Amino acid sequence: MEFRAYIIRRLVLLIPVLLGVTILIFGLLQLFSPVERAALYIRDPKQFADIGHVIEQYGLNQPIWVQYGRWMGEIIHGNLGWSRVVSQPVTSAMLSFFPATLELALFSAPLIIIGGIFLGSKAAAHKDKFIDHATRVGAIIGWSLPTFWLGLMLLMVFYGFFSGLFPPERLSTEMSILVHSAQFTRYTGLNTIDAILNANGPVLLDALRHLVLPIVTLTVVNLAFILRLMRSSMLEALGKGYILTARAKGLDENAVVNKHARRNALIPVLTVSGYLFASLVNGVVITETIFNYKGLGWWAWQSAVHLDAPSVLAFALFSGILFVITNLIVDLLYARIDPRVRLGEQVQ
Amino acid sequence: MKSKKMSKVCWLLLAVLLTAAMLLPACAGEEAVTTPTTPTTPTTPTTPTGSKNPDTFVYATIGPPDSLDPAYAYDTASGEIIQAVYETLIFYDGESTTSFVPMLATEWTVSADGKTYRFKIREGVKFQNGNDLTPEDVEYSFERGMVQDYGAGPQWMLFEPLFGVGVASSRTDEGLIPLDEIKSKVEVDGQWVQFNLAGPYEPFLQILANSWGSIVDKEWCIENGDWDGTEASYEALNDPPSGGSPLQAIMNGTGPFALERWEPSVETSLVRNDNYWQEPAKLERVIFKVVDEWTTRKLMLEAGDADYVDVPRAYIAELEGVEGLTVYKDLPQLQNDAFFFQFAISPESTFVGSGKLDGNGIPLDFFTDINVRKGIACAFDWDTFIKDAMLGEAQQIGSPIVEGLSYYDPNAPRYSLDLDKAAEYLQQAWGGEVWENGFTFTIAYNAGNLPRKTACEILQQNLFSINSKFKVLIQVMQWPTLLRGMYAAELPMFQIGWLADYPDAHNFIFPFMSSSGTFSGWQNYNNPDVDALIDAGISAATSAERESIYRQLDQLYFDDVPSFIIDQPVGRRYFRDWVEGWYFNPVLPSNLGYIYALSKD
Repeated sequence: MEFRAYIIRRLVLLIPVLLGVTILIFGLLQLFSPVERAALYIRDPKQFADIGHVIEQYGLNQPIWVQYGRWMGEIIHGNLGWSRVVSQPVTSAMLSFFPATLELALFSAPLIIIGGIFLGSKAAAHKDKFIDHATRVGAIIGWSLPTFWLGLMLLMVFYGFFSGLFPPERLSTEMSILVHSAQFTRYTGLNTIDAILNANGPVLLDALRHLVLPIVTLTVVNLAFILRLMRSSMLEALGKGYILTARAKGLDENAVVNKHARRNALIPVLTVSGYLFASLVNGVVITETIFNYKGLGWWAWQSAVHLDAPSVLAFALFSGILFVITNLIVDLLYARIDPRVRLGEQVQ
Repeated sequence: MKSKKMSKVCWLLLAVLLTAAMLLPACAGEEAVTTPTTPTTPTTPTTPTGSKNPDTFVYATIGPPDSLDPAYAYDTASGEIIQAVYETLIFYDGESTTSFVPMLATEWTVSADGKTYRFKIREGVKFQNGNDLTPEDVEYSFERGMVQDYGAGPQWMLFEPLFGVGVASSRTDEGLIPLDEIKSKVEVDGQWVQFNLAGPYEPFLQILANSWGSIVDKEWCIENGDWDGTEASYEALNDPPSGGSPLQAIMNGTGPFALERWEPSVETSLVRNDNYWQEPAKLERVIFKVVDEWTTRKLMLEAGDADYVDVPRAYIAELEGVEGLTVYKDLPQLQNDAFFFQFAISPESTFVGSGKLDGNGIPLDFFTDINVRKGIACAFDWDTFIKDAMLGEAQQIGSPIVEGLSYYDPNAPRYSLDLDKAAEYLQQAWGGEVWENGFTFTIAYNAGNLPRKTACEILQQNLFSINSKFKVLIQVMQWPTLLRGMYAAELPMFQIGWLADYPDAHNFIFPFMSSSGTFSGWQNYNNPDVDALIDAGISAATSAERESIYRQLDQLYFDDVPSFIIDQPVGRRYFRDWVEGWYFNPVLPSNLGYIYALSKD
C-alpha cells in the first residue's frame, strides 16, 4: 500500500509542476509584445497589412490571465490548440513527430548507456593502463565534437563520399511510398517496428540504414558523459572496504568488479541515464535537423523560434510529464538495485 | 558472469547492426543501387548514372505549405501545391505574365467599360472525386473565398476589384458585407459565369490566374463542412483562425495531380491524375520534402535523391562545376528590397538616442526634411551592395515597379552613389543643424539576413565618411522584434521587401506609396497627390493612361524619396540534368514552374 501511495503521490505532484511550468512559459511569452507574437501569423510581407486584425483575432492584446484562462479552458476540453509552425493541431503534431524521436532514442539510448557503463567499468578496472587512457581520451574527443560538425562530417562521408551509403531522412523515396501505401500498415509510426510487424525486410533494412548516422552521432557525443561518471563511480566503489574483503576472500577479480563494485557504482549512473533517455525522447534538435529526421526536438525548436505559444506550452506539458515519470522510474529502479532503499519509508 | 555475458551480447548486437547496415545498399533492391565514381575528397560531388526514381520528382524545399485551401493559402509553398492540384479559369501563357490560355474557361470577354468579365465554363471536366465541373462550382468558389476571408489572407485581391479600391476584407466598420452583395458580384448565366466589378481593374485576369482563383467542387466542399451558401454559415465560417478552414488538409481539384499525402512540415506527395481532362502528366508522382539544412539538400541533389533543391544565394559557389546539373541563371524575381524612412517616429522609440538634433540623437520628425532623405539615398552604394552582398545576383531599379511587371520602366529615375551630392543635401537639412551637430540613430536588420546587414554597413560607413558626426548604429533583431519596430513606428529606418501577388504595377506601387499602403502606411507617409494618382492608375480604362500615370508615380517616388529601392534580385534554378520541360515564369509560386510540364529523361 505504501508503495502504491508513493507512486500516486508522485503522480499527483505532476499537477503543480505542470501548472508552474505553463504559467512560467505563459509569463515569459507575455514579455513579447502582441505584434511580436502576431509575427507567427505573418509569413510574408504581403500579410503585414492585416496585422492589427490578427492581434485581435487571436486575442494577443488581452490581459495575460484572460489568455491563460482561455488556453486552460481549451485544455480541459481536450484541445491543445493549433501548431502554426507545422500547420496542424498540436495533438496531431505531437503524435506525428513523437515516433521519429522515440525510434531514435530507443536505438541510441541503449548504446550510449550500456556502452558507457561497459567502457567506464573497463577503464576503472584498468586504471592508468592503456585501456583506461584510450577510453578516456576517446570519450573526451567525442564529447568535444560539436554535434552539428560531427553530423555534417558523417553525412558528407557516408552519404556524399560513399554515394548514398547511409542517407539522411527516415526512409528512401521508394520505401516511403511503399510505407504510405495500402500494402503497408502503420501500427506505431516507428518504421523499424512497423516493418517487423508487416514482415517487410526491405523497409526494415532501409529504416535501419537511415538510422545509422543519427545514432552514431548521438552515441559519440553522449557516451563520454556516462563513461566518465561510471568510471569515477567505479573507482570509488573499488576503494571501499567490502571490495577489499571480497578480494581477501580470494574472490575472482571479474566477480569483484562485475558483481560487487559495478552494482554499487550504478546508482549515480542510473540517475543520469534516466535523464539522458528523457532528453533523447524529448528530442535532439541538431541531429534531427542535420539528418532531416524530423521529430519532437525539431518541432519544439521551430515553435520556440517563432513564439508559437500553443506548441511551446504543449511541449512543456509533455516534457514535464516525461521528466516526472522518468524520475519516478529511476527512483523505483533505485529500490531494485539497492535493497537499502525503501520507497515507502522515504515517503514517511 | 551474467553482466559480462550481457556486455558481450550488446557488443555483438552493435556489430551485427553496423555490419548489416554497411551491407544494405547491396541488398536493398536494384532501384537503390547507383554507380558512383571515385571522388577525391568527401565533398567532391558524385555522378550518378541516372535518376533513382524515374517517374517520381523529388523537390527538397525549405518552405512547408501553410494550408491546402486555395482561398486561404497566401504563401508560395502552399501555392505551388495548389496550382498542381486545382485549376483556374485561365492560366499564364508560357513565360508571359500578361497573356493567358484557357483552362477551366474556354473563352472570356471583357466589357468596353472594363467592369464586366464573362467566362464560358469548359464542359466535360471532372474533379478528382468524379464530380462534374459546373458553372455553379465556379460561382461558389469565388463567393466561398470571400465568405471565409480572414485577416492576412489573399481575398483582398478579389474584394478590391469587386467592391472598389479601399475595400480589402469582408469585415467593414459597419460589420460583415451582406451576403447578397457578395453573391451579386459573381453570377451564373447558363454556361457562363460573370464577374461584376466596381470599376475597371486591369490586373483582374492576372488575379484570377493565381492559386486564389482556383475552382473547388461545391458539393464536395459542403459535404466536408464548408460553407453551405447560407447567411448563418457565412457568419460561422467567416474569419477562420489558423487551420480553421474545412479544406485545410484535403484537396479535390481538376488538375493534373491529386493529393496523395500531406505530412505538414515533412513531406507532401502528389500523384498523377490519370483522368485529367488534358493529356495526363508525364510524372507519376511529385514529392515535396522539407529539408532545412543546406548541406543535406546539396548532398541529396548530388546523390540524385532530389531532382531540385532550394539553393540559398550564399551557397551558389558550392555548386559551381558540379556535374549532372542544369543551371538556369539571371532569372529576374518579382520582388524588391528597400530602405524606408519613418516620418513620425514613435515617442516610445529607443532607437533615436537623445531624441534631439544634438549629435547624440535625432528628433522624431527627423525624416520629414526631404534633404535628409535625399542625402541618405545619395550615400548608398548600389554597386558594392550588389557585388558583395548579392554576389552579383541583383539589379538596381529606380521605382518599386520591378522588371517583369506591367508598366515597368527600365529608365525610371534613380539615385546613385554621390557623396558630394549627399553632403550638399545634408548641409541644407534642418537649416544646417544636421551638418553642424551631426546625428545618431539606429537601423536594424533581421538576424541571418546578411545582405541587409551589408546594406546597413554601407550606409553607416558612407555617412560617417561624409561627416564624422553622422553616426548610424546597427542592431540585429529577431524577426518578431523587427516587425514590432516597424509596425509601431519605433525604427527610424527599416529594410523590408515585397513579393508580387500578381504581376502588375499597382501591386507594388500601393504598398510603397499609398497613405494606406502596407509599408508607406507604417511610415506615416502621406501625399494626397500620390494617393489620387494611385487610384487613377488602377481604375484607368486604357493601358496608355495607366502607363502615363505610373511614369508620374515613378517621378514622384524619386522626388519625394519616401523610401529607396536597394535591389531587385535575380535568381537561379538548379535541376538534375534529367529534368525536362521547365520554363521560367516569374509569377508562378513554385520554383518548379508549371509542374505539369515537367518530365524526367
